[in-house]
Amino acid sequence: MTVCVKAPEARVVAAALEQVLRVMYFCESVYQGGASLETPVLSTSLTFQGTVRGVFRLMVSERCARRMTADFLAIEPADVSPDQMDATVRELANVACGATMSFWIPEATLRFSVPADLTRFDSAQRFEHCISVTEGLPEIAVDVLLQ
Amino acid sequence: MTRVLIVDDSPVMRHYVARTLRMTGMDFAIHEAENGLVAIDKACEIRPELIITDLTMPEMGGRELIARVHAAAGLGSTRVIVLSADRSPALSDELMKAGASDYLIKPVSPEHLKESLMKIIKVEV
Repeated sequence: MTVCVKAPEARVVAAALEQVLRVMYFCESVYQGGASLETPVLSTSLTFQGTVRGVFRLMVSERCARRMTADFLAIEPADVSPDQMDATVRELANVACGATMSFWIPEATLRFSVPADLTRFDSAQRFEHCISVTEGLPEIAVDVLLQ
Repeated sequence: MTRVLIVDDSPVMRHYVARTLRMTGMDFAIHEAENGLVAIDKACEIRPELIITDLTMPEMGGRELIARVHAAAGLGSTRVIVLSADRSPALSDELMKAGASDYLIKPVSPEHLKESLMKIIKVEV
């Protein structure tokens, strides 16, 4: 059965992303609220269905994605390839989606799709939930669209 | 040398898991596959003691891979650890009943992955 609920609150997104970034990417994060990200931005999304259904989107500034990929793979940022950056952002989206949904609706039974290929955009857009990782500026954003 | 097959559609996750395996200091022969379909062919060829697999992958996911491994001749002693971002409460029971030896929720720390590996390898391999 699908239930009607509101989108996750700031504390849910903040807690979920904090855990994912700390445990898997060894990053300290700070929730920034609504903001724009430095461009260019890399974006991916995945769908979830079950107790609730919708789309989870993750956006990361390209500069942050490059640095996170380098740290994750233990290589120099200059040596990061577009494919490696693509895979890192998609994996982050996958794990962040699972964590966010679990923090938000712990009892939910959900199936997730494979994260979509990355899209890149250069125009500034405002997002409701932004997080900074290392530089104090909004670098990662997520949103959850319920259907 | 313990043969391990890492199955994940994300090359960075395969790299991450392989690096964690090497960090244990144990002697592993590490093989990789990008989905369950490729993995089952490779498993029949190399006969791994351990498979570490993602759950959601294109072509064939972790659920079907577990079933295929247990049905395949020569893979009866192969253990399977599932790594997934899916935290649905019933999933752990489902996977363990299907034959998984362990189920780890992402984000998984190197310490947690190592702990699971050591437990399974020590007890069952």
